Amino acid sequence: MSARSTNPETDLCRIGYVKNTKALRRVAKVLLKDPKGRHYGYSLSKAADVKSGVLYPLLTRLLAEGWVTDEWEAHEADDPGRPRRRYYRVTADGVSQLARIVATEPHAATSTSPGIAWTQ
Amino acid sequence: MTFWIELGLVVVGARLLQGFILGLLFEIVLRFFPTANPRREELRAELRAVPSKEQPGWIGHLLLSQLREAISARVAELRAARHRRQLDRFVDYDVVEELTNFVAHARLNDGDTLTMDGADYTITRDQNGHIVALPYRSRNVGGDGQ
Repeated sequence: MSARSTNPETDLCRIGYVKNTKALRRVAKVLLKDPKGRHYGYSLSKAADVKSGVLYPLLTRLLAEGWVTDEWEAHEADDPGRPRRRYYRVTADGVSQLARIVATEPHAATSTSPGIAWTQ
Repeated sequence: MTFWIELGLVVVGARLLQGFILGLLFEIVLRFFPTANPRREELRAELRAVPSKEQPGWIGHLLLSQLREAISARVAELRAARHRRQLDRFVDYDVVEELTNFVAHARLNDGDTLTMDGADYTITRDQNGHIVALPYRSRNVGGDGQ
């Protein structure tokens, strides 16, 4: 495993060790809208308007950080061969971390350089 | 009239071919994931939720990123398997640290069984993370380990 040199406390581009991207902020907003609900990949991708190729690696990182947990739907009796859907649920730690991420979103009124954000 | 029939056949054929190729690519990417990887079943289930009109785009975006993730998962799995095979042949019990390191790389957890020299050992660790249930303890450490 490679050494991580960035300090998550001071690096505004990262929260924890998850890179703070636009896609992450969008997904975070959707997750925080219903923090107790369970979400699955496609619904998250639609609601957050994030491409599938970005969403699943992102979910993997959120899982690794412990910000979300996953669970599987039960097999349906009438169709046991159907693949089960995997649901994601935000953890208590995830709620606070994702809120921090949403708070770092750059606003037109406070940022003069597109793509560069700072916290207040 | 013949023209319209031919055109219809071409359109239907193209649609079928597109669906077949996409399905094939999707299945190839899934096969790259190790069998036990949960993403296999997850993506299969997700595809069912995606409306057919959106499926080409959904699969297309998924291909590269998931192929990369699948290959790295597969490589990690192969590496772990190689370490497990090396452990099976491990007979030099003097190198405790190295053995512990091998067990870590082989992703063996407490309670897993390891076969060495034809005998099965259950992996358990002490508070310092050192393995306590392997034979090197009783041979080299003496009465305190086991």
